[in-house]
Amino acid sequence: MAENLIYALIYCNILLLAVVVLLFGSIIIIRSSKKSKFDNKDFFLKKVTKSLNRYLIATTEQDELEEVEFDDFQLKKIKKSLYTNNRKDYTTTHLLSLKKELFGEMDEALDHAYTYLSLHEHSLKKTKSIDHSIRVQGFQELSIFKSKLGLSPILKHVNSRNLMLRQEAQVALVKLSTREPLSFFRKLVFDITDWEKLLLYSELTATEFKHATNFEQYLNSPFDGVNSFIIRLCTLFKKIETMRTIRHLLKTETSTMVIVAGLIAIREMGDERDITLTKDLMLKHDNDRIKIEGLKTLGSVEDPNNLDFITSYLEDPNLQVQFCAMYALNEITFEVGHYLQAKEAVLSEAHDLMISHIQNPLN
Amino acid sequence: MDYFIRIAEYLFLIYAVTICSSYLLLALISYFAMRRYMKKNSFVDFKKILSSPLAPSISLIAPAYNEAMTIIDNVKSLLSIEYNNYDVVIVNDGSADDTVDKLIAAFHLEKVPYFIPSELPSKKIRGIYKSSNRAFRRLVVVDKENGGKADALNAGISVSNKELVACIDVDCIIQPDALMKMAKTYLESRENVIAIGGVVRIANSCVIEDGRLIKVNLPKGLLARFQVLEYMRAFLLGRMAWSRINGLMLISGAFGLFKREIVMEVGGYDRDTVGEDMELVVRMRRYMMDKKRVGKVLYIPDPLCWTEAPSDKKILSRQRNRWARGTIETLVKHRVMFFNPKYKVIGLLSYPYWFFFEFLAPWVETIGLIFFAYLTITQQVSWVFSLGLFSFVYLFAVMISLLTLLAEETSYYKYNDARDFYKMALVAIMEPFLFHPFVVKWAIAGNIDKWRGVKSWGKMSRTGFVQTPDKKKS
Repeated sequence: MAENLIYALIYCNILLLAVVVLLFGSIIIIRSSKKSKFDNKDFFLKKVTKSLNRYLIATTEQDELEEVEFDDFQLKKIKKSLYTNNRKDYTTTHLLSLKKELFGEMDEALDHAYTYLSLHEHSLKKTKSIDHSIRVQGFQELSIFKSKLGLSPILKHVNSRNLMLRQEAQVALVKLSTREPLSFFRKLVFDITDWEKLLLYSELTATEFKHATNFEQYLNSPFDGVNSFIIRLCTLFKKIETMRTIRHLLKTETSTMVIVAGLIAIREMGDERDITLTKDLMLKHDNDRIKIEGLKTLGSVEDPNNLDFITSYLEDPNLQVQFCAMYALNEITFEVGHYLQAKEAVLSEAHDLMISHIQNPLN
Repeated sequence: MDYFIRIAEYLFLIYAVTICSSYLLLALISYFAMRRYMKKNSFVDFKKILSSPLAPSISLIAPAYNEAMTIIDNVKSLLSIEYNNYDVVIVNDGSADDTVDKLIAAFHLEKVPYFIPSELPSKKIRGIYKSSNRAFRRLVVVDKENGGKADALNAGISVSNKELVACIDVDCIIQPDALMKMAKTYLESRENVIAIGGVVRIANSCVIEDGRLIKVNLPKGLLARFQVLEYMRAFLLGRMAWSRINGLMLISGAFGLFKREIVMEVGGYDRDTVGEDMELVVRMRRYMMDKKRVGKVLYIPDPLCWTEAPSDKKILSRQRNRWARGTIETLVKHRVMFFNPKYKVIGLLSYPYWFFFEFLAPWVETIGLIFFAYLTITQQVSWVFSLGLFSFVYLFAVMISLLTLLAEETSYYKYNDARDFYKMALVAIMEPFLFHPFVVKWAIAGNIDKWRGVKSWGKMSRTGFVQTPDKKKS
């Protein structure tokens, strides 16, 4: 037994020594390969850049009144050299970087180059790759170069369990389907994350169709995240016409997330009719977040009829709610101290500090 | 007698094999988790967070104690972080020098009445200052009586009114995109995230300009280089794995992001421990599990924070001594979690790992060496077995260090000079002989100090970062 153990130890040591040498060697190889890879890439890209520059110059030098004709001679030269996937990748990446900087005719010329060089086929192949990061590359390329061929392969991934695939598929769809950028919301089988909301908002901000999009059609989603996001979008894009639907939804809604988004919408786009709804929501839901948003909303309306209702929240057990009530009172009366004295309200030390805090311009 | 010696040898062997296997397993999980993270984020445009009204609000909370020399540069650096919805809360923890006066003068601060809706336990707040200059509107300075780091952090968290709080060391260099990366990780999780940690790297010999890291250099001193390797190993090949299996128990005190609401619920930092960073994370996790609520602690492998490592043996020994005491305090306080299935991965894996391989390891190593010395003196030593075991542990340590270097090469590639790699490989070869024995010694001293009732942090002094020539002249 002991002898066997010693032999096992010796074998382990030899194995470990081999692994150590192997690791050392692989780091050196990785370092040197990084350098040579960049050298090859740089050499090829120099040639591509030269031809692309000539192509772009020829495109922009045309008479403005005539329809743009693309000079495909230079593109043919590039196409001949695109015989490996690596080269197709380098060229696509280069086109993408140009796309970020160029607009107008140049932008169209780049879209044309992408299609002419059959890079969309390469991108479509990528969307079927086993490697998720390569698939995402495919989504991004197809959507940035507005290749409609990408729509159906990308749509398959909006409910992917893989976070990266799902996010990028959603973003790509917003870029591609300009008329109804959020149409995939109808196909969602689970709620969207906050990061997805942020990405979608960012993409929608960039699209010129955001004002034409009818967001309220998605307000009947079974997911609270989607509903609250749609309300936020309506608020951020100032879609006042959606207020009717939002009001209707809030009357029966139980999710805090959606109600809070609704109260923000009322604050930004509501009118007198919404004051009663706000008060009802605050009374119906014993939730601090709803109370706080409700008080902010009532404060922003600046209607003296609400003063008594708001003052009652100065006795709420949560100091944060009291603070918001004081803030709302100050928004309406400007001289909250005098108002409360006139009302003979019993003010604590904390209330005095709240008033000083609110009225200090540096806070 | 011979029988007992053999049994003891087997026990040491089993311990060594178990600890090595767990390191290897963690290293492999980390490696793949890191690759996955990097792939996932290679497409992300973090700048989208900057312009988004949907980004979470964050308070950067930095306690300062006698930092008059560097506080202005440090605050300027914090105010220039790339994020939109954030503020910087500097907590002057009763400094004996003119830290507050310098801040007041440099940032046009004025004392303001400030209402705090809910307070964590901390020493008395003397005043809260805000700037009359719009350029510094993000800055809040809290002046309070001295109570230690945890106390100052509690005061800062109380004053903050943001959704998330990032607790940092004021003298650390935070990467400009650190908050964006943290916010992205926070937003993308479907489950409730209560804390996020990031990689802390060593900035000795790096070039710093206006509180920003300009050039990454390998430290000049051997002691700091050992720590570079140690930090890389711990952060790249340790914590990432624990986060992957939802068992992370420690987020570095130098930079950690927490959900304020949960920190308030658990009562903030414990002011009676020297390992307040680990204790808070463990308590938050325990609290969430006790309440049957989901609370994930995530970790991102991006280097987000650069800190100055002690380049003096005395200071390093004090730091390690404190770390050892902090570990014991946390393990003792939360002993109910030990092998408790109620706490899932934390109770069944993380806690036992910390107990057997972090707390006990220095003791096992020391006892092993004493045992070996005894066998040598009494001429009962089996040289083949002993040398086999020593070389196994040594080669394994070198292998793990090289794996770390490989992970670094294929990910962040911060040390891109070829000579740096050879230097680090040499450090990996020397570390088990020249650095590790001291780490064990300091940990044992920490254990002893803990039982003797030592509670102090020990004096920590820093030499300061390397500044660019222009900065030096000024």
